[in-house]
Amino acid sequence: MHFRPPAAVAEVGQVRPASRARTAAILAVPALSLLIPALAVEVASAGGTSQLTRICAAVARFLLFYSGVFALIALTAAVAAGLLATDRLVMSPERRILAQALHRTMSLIGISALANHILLEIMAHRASIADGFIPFMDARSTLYMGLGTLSSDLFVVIIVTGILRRRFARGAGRWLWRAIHATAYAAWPLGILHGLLAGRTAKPYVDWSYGGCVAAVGLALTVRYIVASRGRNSAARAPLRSPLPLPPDPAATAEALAEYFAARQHMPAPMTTAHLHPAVRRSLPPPSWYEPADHPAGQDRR
Amino acid sequence: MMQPPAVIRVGQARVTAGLDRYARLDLGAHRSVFGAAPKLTAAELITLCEQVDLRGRGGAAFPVARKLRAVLARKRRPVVVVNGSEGEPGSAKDKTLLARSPYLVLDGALLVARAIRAREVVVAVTGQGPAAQSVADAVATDRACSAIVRVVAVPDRFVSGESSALVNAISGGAALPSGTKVRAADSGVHGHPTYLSNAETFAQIAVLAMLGPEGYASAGPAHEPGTVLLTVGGSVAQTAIVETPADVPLGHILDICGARPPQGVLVGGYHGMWLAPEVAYHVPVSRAGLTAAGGMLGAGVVLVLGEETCPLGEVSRIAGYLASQSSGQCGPCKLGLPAVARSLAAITAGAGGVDELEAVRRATARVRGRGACHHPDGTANFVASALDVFARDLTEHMFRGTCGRPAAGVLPLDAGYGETRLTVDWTRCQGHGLCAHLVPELIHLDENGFPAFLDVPVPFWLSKNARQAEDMCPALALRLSTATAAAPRPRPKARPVQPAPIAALTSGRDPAPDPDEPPTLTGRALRSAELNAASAWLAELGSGRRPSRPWS
Repeated sequence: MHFRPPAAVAEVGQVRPASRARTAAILAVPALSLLIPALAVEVASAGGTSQLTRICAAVARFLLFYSGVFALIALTAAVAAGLLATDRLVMSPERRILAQALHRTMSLIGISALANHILLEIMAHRASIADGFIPFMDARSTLYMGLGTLSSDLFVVIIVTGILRRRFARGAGRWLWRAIHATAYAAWPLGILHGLLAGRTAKPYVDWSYGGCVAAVGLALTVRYIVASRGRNSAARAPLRSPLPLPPDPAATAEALAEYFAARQHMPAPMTTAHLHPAVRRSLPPPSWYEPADHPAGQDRR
Repeated sequence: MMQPPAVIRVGQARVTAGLDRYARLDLGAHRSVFGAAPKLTAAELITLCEQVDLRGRGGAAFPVARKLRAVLARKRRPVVVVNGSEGEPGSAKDKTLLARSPYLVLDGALLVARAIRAREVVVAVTGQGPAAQSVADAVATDRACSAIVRVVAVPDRFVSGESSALVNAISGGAALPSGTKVRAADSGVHGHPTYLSNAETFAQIAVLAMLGPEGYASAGPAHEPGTVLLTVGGSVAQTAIVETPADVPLGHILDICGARPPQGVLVGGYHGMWLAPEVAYHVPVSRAGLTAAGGMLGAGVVLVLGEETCPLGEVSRIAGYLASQSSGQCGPCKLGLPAVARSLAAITAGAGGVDELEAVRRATARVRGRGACHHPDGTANFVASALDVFARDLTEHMFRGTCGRPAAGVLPLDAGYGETRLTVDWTRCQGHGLCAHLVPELIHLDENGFPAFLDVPVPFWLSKNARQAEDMCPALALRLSTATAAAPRPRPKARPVQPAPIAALTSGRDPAPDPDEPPTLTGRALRSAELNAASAWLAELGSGRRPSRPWS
C-alpha cells in the first residue's frame, strides 16, 4: 500500500512516564535547602531594625548553632537504619523495606544539614572555604576540623554513589559499591569526633549518647559479620525450628485432620482417598488413624 | 500483525466489497464500488437500524438504535467516535477496514454525524501503522471529511479500546478506563454526549444506508440479518478476515481458512470462550448460535489451536499477557489476574497439583465483576473455559508434568509487547525477599524463599514499584532490563521418562498392563485409561460433584 507522505496523527492518551532525572531531583533537595541560610544571612547582614531582619538573624544564629548537630544526629540515624535494613535475624522483609526508606530519608536530611553547616561556618568566617572541602588545607584548621572535612567528603561520596546504586548493580561494580558504602563506618566515627571535639564543649549526656550509639553499631556490625560468614552456606540460612522432625503423635494428628475435614465439609470435593489407585490406597495407613469414622470420606473406605 | 491478513468472503461481499480488486479503495474506487451514501435524518437512521436490529460489532452487541436514541436525548451537540483501536491482538478486522477501505468507515461516520448533527467526528487508531496512515490520508483527501473529522492515535494496549478509556484519551487524559460507570452516550468526549462504535459498525451502517433494509437483510437469517466480520487466526494457513452471513457453520469457515485439526477453538477473542473442536465445527456463527454453544461472538475473533502446540502453555502465556494488560487501577484485577497467571504457569511447568488447579478456579471466580471495566470478567471466562476444554491436557500436565509439546506461540500477541523485564542474577540473589513485598504482582517467593517471576514484561503501572525493587535489593541482584533483543532464556523442559510416545498413549492402544509394576501418580507416565479416568475425575472435581472412583 502506498500513501502520500504520512499525515501527522496526534498521539493521545499516553500515561505520563515516571521522571527520568531522578538523581538530579534527589540532589536538588540539599541544594535548595541551602537557600534558607543564605537568604537569612544575606537579609540579616544587610542591617536595619525591621522585624524581618531580626527573624532572619535569629534563623541564621539557630542554624549556625544547630545544623551541625542535626547533621550528626541524622547521619547517626542513617547509619543505624542502614545497618538495621540489612538484618535478617529480627527484621521481617516489610520492616527491612521501611528501614531502608528511613535510611534514605535520613541520609538526605543529613546531607542537607551538613551542607547548611558547612555554608554557615564559612559565612561566619569560622572556617575557610578550603576547610569546607579539603581537609588540613588551611593553616588555621585544627585536627578535629580536618576530621570533620574528611568525614563530610566521605559522606558526600557515599550518598552520591548511593543514589547511583542502580548503575553499580548493572555493571560489575558491585564490590566497588559495597566498599565505598562501607566507608560510612569510618566516616561516621570521624564525624562524631569532629562534632564532640571541634566546637563548643558538649554536655556529658551527649558524649554518653554518641558513645552508646558507637557501641550499639559496633555490636550490630559484629553480629552482621558473624551471621553473614555463617550464612554463606545456604542451608544454614533456613529457619531452624527443630533439628529432627518429631515423630507424629497419632492422637494429635487425627484431631488436626478431623478439624481439617470439618472445615472442608461444606466444600465441593471433600478430601478422600477414593480417587487414588487401589494399590496406593492399600499402602496408606489404616483408616482409624487417617480418616475420622464420622466423615463420609472415612465411611467410604469401609 | 506481521503479514496483512487475507480477506475472504462467504457468499456476497458487503463491507469487504472491492477488496478483491483493490489493495486500498481510494476515493474514486470507493465511489465506483459503493456509490454515494444517502443523507438521512436521525429518525430515518434509527428506524433503519431498528428494522434490521443492527448491533454494535465491538463485542458488546449493543443495539445501535438505542445508543443513537440515548445520544439524541441529551441537549448538547454530540460527538461521534470511531473506535479503530482494536486492542485485541487476535482481531484485525477494524485495522484492515481502516487501512484498505477507509472511506466506507468514514461514510458511515459522516452519515451518523449528519443525522445526529454532531459537532465533531474522532477516529481513534493505535500507533502510526498502516491503518492510521490510511485513514489520515483519506481524511486529508476528502474535503467533506477534513472539516469535521480528526484522527488520533491511542497507546496500543489491551484496555485502550475500552470505551471509557478511549473517551478519556480523546478528552486529553490517560487512556485508562474510568472508575465510575458513565455511559459515553450521556457524557463522553469533553462532557459531550458521544456516539462511540467500532469501525466495522460504521461500515455496516454505511452499507445498510446504501442497500436499504430489504437489501441488507437479503443476506443472513431473519434473526440476525446482514453479514458478520470474523478474524480467523491461530493454526490456520493465513490469518484471514472473513465476511460471512450469520448462521454459517464455523467448521465451514475454518475449512476455508485452512485450519489444522484443532484441540480447541477460541471464539470472542481473549475475553471470549474456548469451544471443544466437536462443538466448534458445528456451531453456527451468530450471536445466538455461539452463545447457545457456550461461547460468544464478541468482536468476531476466532482463534484455532492446532495439535502442534501445548494448549495449556498457550493459555498460560495469554493469561500472563492479560494480567500485564490490566491498567493497574482496580485491586482485584491487578493482584487477581497475576495470581491466575502464576498458578497456570505452575501447572504448565508441571509444578502444580490439584491445589494449584483449585487456586486457579478460586482466583478466576474471585475477580469476576470486580473492576471498573470488563477485563477481569473476560479474562476469567477465557481461563475457566480453557480449563474445561483442555481438561485432558491439564491432566497430563498435572500428573506427568508435561504434554511433551512446546508452547509454539500460536496465539497472537502485540508486536510491541515485552520491552522491560525484571531479571535476577541468580548467583547474587540470597533470597532476602524484599522484592516480593515491593512487587507482589510479579514476584512471589518459592518454598525456599527465592523469587519466582511471573514471565511477563513489567507493565507501565508497575514500573515505579519495579524500579524501587531494583533499588532496594540488598544483594544488588535484581535488574530491570529493557533490551528487546535479548530473548528470555529458554526454560529446560521438564520431560519425565516416557515409556511410550504420546500418540500411542492417546490412540487407545494400551501397552499390556504390568500387574507387578507399582503405580505412582508422579514420575511414571500413566496409561491412556488412567489418564482418561484422571481427566474425568478432574472434571468432576471442577463441577462440584463428589468424585467417583475412577480406578476401581
